Amino acid sequence: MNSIEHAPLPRSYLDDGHSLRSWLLTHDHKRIAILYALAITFFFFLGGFAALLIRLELITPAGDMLTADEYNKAFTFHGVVMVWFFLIPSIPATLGNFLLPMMIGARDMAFPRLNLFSWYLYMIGGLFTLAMLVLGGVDTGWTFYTPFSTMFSNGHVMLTVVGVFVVGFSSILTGINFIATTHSMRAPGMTWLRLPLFVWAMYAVALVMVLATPVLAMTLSLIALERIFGVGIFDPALGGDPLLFQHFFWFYSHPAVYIMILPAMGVVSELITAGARKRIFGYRFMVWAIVGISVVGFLVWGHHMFVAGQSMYASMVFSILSFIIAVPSAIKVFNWTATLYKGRIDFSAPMLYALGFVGLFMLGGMTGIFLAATALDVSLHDTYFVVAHFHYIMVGGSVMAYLGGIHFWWPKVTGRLYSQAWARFAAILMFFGFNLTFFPQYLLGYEGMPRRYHEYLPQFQVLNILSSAGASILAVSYLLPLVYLGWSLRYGARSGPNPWRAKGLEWLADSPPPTHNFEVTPVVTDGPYAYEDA
Amino acid sequence: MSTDTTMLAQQFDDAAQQRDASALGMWVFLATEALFLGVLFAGYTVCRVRFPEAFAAGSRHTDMLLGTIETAVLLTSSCAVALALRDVQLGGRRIAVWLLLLTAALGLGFLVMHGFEYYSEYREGLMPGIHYTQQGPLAAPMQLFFCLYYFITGFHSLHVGIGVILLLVMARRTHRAQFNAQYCTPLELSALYWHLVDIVWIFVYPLVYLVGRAG
Amino acid sequence: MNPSPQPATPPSLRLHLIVLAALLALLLTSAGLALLPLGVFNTLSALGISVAKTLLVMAFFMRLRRGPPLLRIAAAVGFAWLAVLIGMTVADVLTRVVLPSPW
Repeated sequence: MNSIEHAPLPRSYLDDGHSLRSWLLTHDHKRIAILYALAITFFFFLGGFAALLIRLELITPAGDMLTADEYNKAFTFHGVVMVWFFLIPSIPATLGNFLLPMMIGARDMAFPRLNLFSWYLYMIGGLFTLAMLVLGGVDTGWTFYTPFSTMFSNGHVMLTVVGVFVVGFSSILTGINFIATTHSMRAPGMTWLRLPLFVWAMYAVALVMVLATPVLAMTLSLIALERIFGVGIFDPALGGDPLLFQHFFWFYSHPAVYIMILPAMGVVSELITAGARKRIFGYRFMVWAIVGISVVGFLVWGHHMFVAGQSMYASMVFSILSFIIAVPSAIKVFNWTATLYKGRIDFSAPMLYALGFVGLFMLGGMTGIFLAATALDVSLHDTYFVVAHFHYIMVGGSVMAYLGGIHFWWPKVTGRLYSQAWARFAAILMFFGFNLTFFPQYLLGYEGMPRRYHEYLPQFQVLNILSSAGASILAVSYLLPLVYLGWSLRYGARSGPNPWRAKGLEWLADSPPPTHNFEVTPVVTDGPYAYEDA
Repeated sequence: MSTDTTMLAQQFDDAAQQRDASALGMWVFLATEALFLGVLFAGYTVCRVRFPEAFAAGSRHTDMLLGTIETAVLLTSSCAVALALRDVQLGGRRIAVWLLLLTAALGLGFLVMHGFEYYSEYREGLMPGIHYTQQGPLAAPMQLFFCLYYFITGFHSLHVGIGVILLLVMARRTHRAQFNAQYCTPLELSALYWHLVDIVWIFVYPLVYLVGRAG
Repeated sequence: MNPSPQPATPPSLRLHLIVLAALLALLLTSAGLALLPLGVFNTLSALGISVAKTLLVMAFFMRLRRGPPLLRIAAAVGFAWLAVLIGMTVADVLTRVVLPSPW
């Protein structure tokens, strides 16, 4: 591009224009990743604020701080924002956008304009959600169950549904882009079985986004139409089937859990290999596990409906399929552990996050097996046991891995090093804060405390206080990275291209990388994670 | 590779890579469309399994002749757009423009015919939630049929409308000689989209118009 | 990977018209069959003809027959996932104990 300049290094993508316009109209996948990162961080803290309200309310058994209606709106807002505006786009839209082209040795995504467009869709969807919040919120829960959402709720269901519909298309477009990029943009020699596991995870997650999200979009359209016209196929008065809504909704929303956890698995595979300086144990098994999870993940949605009136036979099939999905998940945990075995483990911050992920994911996954058992689910359904289970996966798993990834690739993204001491402290604090918040909720659920109520029986108070105390620690550990990572942007030491001495094409480029990533398209001659040779 | 490098985006190495990526992206998009509209067909299946008589009765209220003509129109338009693409790929231009305009006109004709259908159904009181005057034991579940009928045909017509606009844009770009035998990816993708619209209708036709006709 | 060379010469005009004629013939067949009392075969024949028409459109108009296999997979996966959605949902509805309607 700049043939006049004779500087040995090409300009980094951060220096390629400083105006607001150069950011808002960029086609560079790395800049779009940063736009996404800023947006999802905003929504993360917004959703976190709703969680704060929930935990404050639950310190005392009486429903004294929030009314029942306000409490409903708080947990709905928390769920909607955290699921669709933080977790779904978290790793794919930020780290995935930034790293996928670099890891396969490409100059950009296959469709850069589409990439930018999907960010704008995300922002438009976000605006609808903010409008919903300002105008008074919605009380259906993030699941929008009919017939409440279609006939009875007085909240701003329409605004929320439109917002989620729009953000859904943003994730469809991201998925299409990832699939086309992975298929057609790989560097010479980058065969499918030489792809880093992060790329495999992004590919699998793109498949899930593309195959599940349209179903959500249409299901939400049906809710909107039913609200507008007062009739629809979910209306029991006509002989319609409210359970049909749950089928459609969970056909998306269960795979959506895999949209959240598969990228986390990809990140952790990179972090553990780099931190243990070893090849991943059982690369092919890891690949098949990723693909297996994404496919089988589509066949288990009925386990959300065991007590909703679904047929007993359907429940049995869904239950068995849900057990089966534990197999590839367990393979991944075994292989991460085996990778650590006899490794020269570097306990820097990314590794601490990764180790935290493995432990928390395992606990979350194991309790998922409890819930997949139809008989046990009858008593655990809609209790805090479920809340604890999916927070272990989504927060303990995905958010941990997301932050681990941010810490790992921060030098690559910004060209700066951050304080390891503070980062390690935050990672350890997060692990303890998280467990203090959510482990008591397992016990609460086991003892029978139902979810989604603003008051509870007095005997649950001690555990609830522990949980709220843990949540405040967790909040501090989420705010800390903002401080020391922000500080590093200005005062951090400059990073070389490869501060972790890690393998992978992204580390060949400068930190921060030039606009088109590679001066010469790299040629790949070996699989990923060639650490022993180093 | 290709003499025409002006159309090559910077992220691609060559025109073939660009075309392959675009084609794959479009096919994946078509798969999402199939799933998007497929939810309505899933709803249709479940409701029809529950209320077969009501669906047969509802279907008998629709206009089979008009539905058949509409299907023929869409099938023909699909052939026309495929021929337009063929013409461009063989180096032609004038005939392709006319074929694209013909396709758009057929799409528009489809929409007009469907508008007439909606109008007569409104007059017969077959619009649940707006104007529904049916009586009898099947009146309630028949509303499910008509809800699905309007949702399916409504979303389909929306796609036809988008397709017509797309085809007109493509006709204009073809007229301005922006496509040639080496580069016609946007036209190719628009044609694929139009075929998908056609395929959706191929399934709408028997499910809406042909149920319970024999009885 | 393995980028395909320039598109092969497009199918002939004759082939396009033959496919169109076949599609219209199938349309009339399906309309005709719908008027005969065949019981469950009314639905099956109608859907079977729709599948045949779809395959014709995809194979010839959308040029999947000579296109890269990857595109065929993409198309097939979309339909397969839809089949999973419909199949498992209907399986639940068919085996469920349905509460009678209020009328």
